[in-house]
Amino acid sequence: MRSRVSAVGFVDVNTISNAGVLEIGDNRDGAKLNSRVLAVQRSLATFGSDEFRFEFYALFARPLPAAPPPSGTSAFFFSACAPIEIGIVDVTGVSAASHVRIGCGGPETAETRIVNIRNRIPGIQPQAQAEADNK
Amino acid sequence: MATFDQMNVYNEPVRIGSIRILGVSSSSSLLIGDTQSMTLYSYFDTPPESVIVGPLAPLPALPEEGE
Repeated sequence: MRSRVSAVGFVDVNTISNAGVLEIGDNRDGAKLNSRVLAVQRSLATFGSDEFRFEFYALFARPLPAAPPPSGTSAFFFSACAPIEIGIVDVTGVSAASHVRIGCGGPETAETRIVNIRNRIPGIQPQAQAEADNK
Repeated sequence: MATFDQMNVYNEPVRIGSIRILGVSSSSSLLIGDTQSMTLYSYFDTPPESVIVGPLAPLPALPEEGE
């Protein structure tokens, strides 16, 4: 694919975190992004080391869905003298294997897996809830 | 029924004033340009075993008697 010009007058990105990428320019090799998250929420904030491992959870062993094979119809793209012009791009957050690119390229590959664990300890109120009850 | 074995796509100039996005997250993509392919995955898993009710965390020390 012949690349075309992407012109942006002003870019404002506040935060990029957790395997997020902001890319300005063309890239033939594309981007490969991964992010694995275990969010552990306890009613008492005490944590030991090495308590939770990704391999303990089936979600992280699940095979990635395979893309369907290309269909019989072949596509040809013609982009001569077809620039993309944008005045302002304002993005507050880019996170969790996400990607913002100004330019052409690919292939883009991204993967995120999240397990959210809530650990409720009997007899102990979460701090935020206890503060709300006291008000 | 007619069959097509070739598709021609003619891209024309694109002009946009401003784009404002609050968040791009969990294997999402904002692309100002062209790409041949894009493969994005995202899982969010909260099965029953994700909720643990039990004293797995160390309990705080009991207040000493007589205080």
